[in-house]
Amino acid sequence: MKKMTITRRQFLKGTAVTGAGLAMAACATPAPTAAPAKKVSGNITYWHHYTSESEMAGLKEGAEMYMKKYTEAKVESLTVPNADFMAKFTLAVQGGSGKPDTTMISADRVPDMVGMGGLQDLTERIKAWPDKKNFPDKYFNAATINGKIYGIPSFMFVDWMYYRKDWFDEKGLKPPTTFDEMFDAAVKMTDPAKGRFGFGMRGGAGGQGLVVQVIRAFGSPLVQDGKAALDVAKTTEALKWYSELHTKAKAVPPSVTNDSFRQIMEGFQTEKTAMLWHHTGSLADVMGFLGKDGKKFMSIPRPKGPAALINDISPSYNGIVDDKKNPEAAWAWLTHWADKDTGIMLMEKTGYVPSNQEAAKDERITKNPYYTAAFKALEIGTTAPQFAGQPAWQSSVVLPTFQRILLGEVTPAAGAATLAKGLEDAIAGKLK
Amino acid sequence: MNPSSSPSVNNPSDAIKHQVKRFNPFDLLGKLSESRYWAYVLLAPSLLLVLAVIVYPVGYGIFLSFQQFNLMRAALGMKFVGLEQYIELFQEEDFYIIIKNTFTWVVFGACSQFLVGLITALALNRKSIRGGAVARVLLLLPWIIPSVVAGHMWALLLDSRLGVINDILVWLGVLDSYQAWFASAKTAMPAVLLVDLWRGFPFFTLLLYAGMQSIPDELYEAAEVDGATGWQKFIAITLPMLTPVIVAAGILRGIALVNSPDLMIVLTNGGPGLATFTLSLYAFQIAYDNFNFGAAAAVSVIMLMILMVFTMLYFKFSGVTKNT
Amino acid sequence: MQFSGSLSRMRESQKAMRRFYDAIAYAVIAFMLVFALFPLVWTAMTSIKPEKDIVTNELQYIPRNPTFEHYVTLWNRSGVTTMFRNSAFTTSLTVALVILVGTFAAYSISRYRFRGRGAILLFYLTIRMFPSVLMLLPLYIMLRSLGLLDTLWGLALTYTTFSMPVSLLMLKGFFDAVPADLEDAARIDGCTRLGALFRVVMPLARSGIAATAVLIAVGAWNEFLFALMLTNSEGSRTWPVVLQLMVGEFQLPWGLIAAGGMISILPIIIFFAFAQKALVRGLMVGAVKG
Repeated sequence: MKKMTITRRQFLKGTAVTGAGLAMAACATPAPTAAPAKKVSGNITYWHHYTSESEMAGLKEGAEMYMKKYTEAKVESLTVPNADFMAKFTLAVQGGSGKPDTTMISADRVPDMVGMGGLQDLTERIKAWPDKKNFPDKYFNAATINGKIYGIPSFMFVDWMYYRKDWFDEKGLKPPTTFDEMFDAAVKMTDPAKGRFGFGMRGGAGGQGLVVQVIRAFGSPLVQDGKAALDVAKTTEALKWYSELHTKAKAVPPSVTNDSFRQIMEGFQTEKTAMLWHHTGSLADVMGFLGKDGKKFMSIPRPKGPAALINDISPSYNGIVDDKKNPEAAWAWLTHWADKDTGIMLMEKTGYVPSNQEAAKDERITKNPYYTAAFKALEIGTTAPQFAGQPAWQSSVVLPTFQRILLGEVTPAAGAATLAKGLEDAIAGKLK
Repeated sequence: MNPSSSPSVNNPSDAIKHQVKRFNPFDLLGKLSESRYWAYVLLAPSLLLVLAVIVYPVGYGIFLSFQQFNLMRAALGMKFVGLEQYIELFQEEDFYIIIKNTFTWVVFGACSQFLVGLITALALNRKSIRGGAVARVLLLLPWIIPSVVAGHMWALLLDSRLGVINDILVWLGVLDSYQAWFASAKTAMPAVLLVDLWRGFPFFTLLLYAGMQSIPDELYEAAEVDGATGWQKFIAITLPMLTPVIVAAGILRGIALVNSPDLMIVLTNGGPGLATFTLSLYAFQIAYDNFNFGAAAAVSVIMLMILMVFTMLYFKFSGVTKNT
Repeated sequence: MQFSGSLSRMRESQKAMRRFYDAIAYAVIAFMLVFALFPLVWTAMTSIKPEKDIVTNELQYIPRNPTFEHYVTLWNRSGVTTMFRNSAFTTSLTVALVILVGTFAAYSISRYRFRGRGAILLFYLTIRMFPSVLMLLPLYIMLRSLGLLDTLWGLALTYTTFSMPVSLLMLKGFFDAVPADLEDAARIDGCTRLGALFRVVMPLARSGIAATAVLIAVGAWNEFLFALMLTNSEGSRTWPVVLQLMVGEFQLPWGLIAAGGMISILPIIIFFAFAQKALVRGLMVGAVKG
């Protein structure tokens, strides 16, 4: 019975929207022709955190393609710096005005953005979306909360590892496939006299996600049935292994606790580090300074931990924030960015891997050895568990605690206990 | 502008007739300026502005600090918890580290910037110095450049791979190899303080130099006749005459240091560990990373209290608000 | 004569001391110039190096391949000129509002003796003491209900309020330094209090007001957090937002940031070149008698 009413209400809502769309279309065009059922028209706004020249070029061209496809719609985009994105989004949603119609959504932010009521439920639309078949179900995992879907993926960040192929060949080493092999290789690659280090560990801003991946690779869950479920013993092991790359093996640059994305990239670029964990988002840059011929560096999936191979894929989603104004234009914008051609266009500009599987078959992608590696990683890709409070826990508990372990201020065991306590607080929304 | 010197003012009865005939707001203002309410009228616009902007946020902040409230969990709603969040804060070990860091940051920052600013101002103040005018503008530049740029440029200067300062220190033989200044718990705070010294000393130089310029030459000449040394003149004349400026500049800079974490965000973001983590970073993190607005409000109220007490003591000792 | 002998010896020694102090002063200024300018010179150098010459193992003190590409790229970014103009407008408006409103308040505090003056100073300062983090949401809502959200007027009004404590503390000092006798004389000549403020006090303290204006202008020109948070469209963003936006998730373009830094100090230097005279004189008279 209950289910029945909901369906009916939604049906009614659907017709109302169509009606409004029709009415508006009639207003907008003086000579009403046989308008399609859902008219795509009107202005929409889009928030994103693209910044680089290449990203901006991709966005610009994508917007032009959209406006060519839907001549009565117009999109206006606004860059919001990634670091300030949540603060700004919170103000717009809570402040009661200034909400964008659509927004880019970083996968780990979905629960928080849904939690504050900032995103619209897209489940019904996605069900009816013909292109849905080109997206594996797991691509929607991170955007699904309590069975409802809040975003559609436009491109994927696929985790992987870069390594210096030439140096490994020189030493006759095979690229590592397990954590043990990696530790071993890191030690062998380290040569302080040359200023060379085995692993460019990210111990500064942004390194928190990697620490959590190591914890998962050692077999500890994060949440179970909505409750914190960190296994302290396994976490201790994980923190011990990861931190000892620095504290014991001295196989990472001494600047590790301040090394964020920029520093680890510059370390790789100035040929100081042999291995690096990142994702496909940096490929264009790395090819830029180490060449794209596959001689100096290669990319492979992350090595396997004692309990699991964690090689996350994380989609960049687009979602609807405000569906009051021009919902059809907004939805068209979302699907436009999930389109095969838009995806390939963006990839050619930025190197970001399209989420649409149709694009993967395109020969522009199959020809490039690095892209092939990315798609291989995509197939085995795992997805990180999502829960409200996760980004908070990672940035305000995991990162400082791990840094203190690296500095020798805290033992891995004590650190693991701090992490467990912090996770409980984060899930309860009481984290300080 | 203001036609208040029109005849109407000289002759009160004229003024009244004038006003009855033709309403002139300037006349009214002129008259008002003679009344005893004038002090309040002058104060009103800015006071209203400040009231409008400050009362609601601070009041709301104090209210929130007694509530458990997370912006992301609208479903959990608001729950009155009394002083619980304050008590929890003071029970946390880390909180004391953060307070200690804030103290180090503000005290060392303000004092070093003051001292360097003072020495520079004293040097610039010597009459026999040539090229002072150009030097004064050039020395102000660090304070003018936007903090985003300043932060990133210092990150580059002190970088452990690309940093020119490391290169120079190695070349001079001070260091064996490049150091990662922001990565060690021992050097991170001094390094950030150095950057802020660079950024903040011109503020003091500007104000203190101005203050010195206003001290009448006769005072120094008289002291010289009495055979006072440079140091004695400084202690007996310069310092006391400068006190009001020192107080005003000190309080403004001190508050700015407590409340603006922008350089810190770029350079260390509080790390490594908690080595450079201060109260303002903490409040920002709790509010916009964790969305725990209740706890963030508690931290803010604590910051406000500490600053209030310090400012009041400071005012009291310096006598800046005494009726002169 | 022994006495004059010792006097002349004293003069001699005083002269020597003076030279000694001068030498120290020159040394201090030279040292401080190096300290203050070296990072800026390095920024200028960085701004004309291609990115490949910045991230390199071979540090280049003098750019080997000087280029202006970063300046060109920056200037070609969409909306840069608009944002520069927005900044100029917001800064001017802020300075004008602060000086107008702040002058009244500072004059009142400086000239009248009423109860609670200390408390009022302290109250104005609270606006700087409460973390801006928690001010954001209430401010946002307030500006929205006034219809000033996403406008330069809203930003200017916010900056005005937040500059109030600085202008009040400084202007009070400058006004204190204007002798009350002059004002009284003007009033005997038929000026009202208001007339005396505009015709006597403000002209005498004009250079002090200029100095305060510079303080406020630098603050408004460089403000970032409110500029980002209280605007919602490209059309109303300001220059510091442009600078911040160059720092991306997957990039840190040193050359661009350096070029942006160089561009952003230019207007202020020009302003200083003009205001310098007034500034120095103003600070001479002002700040001072607390």
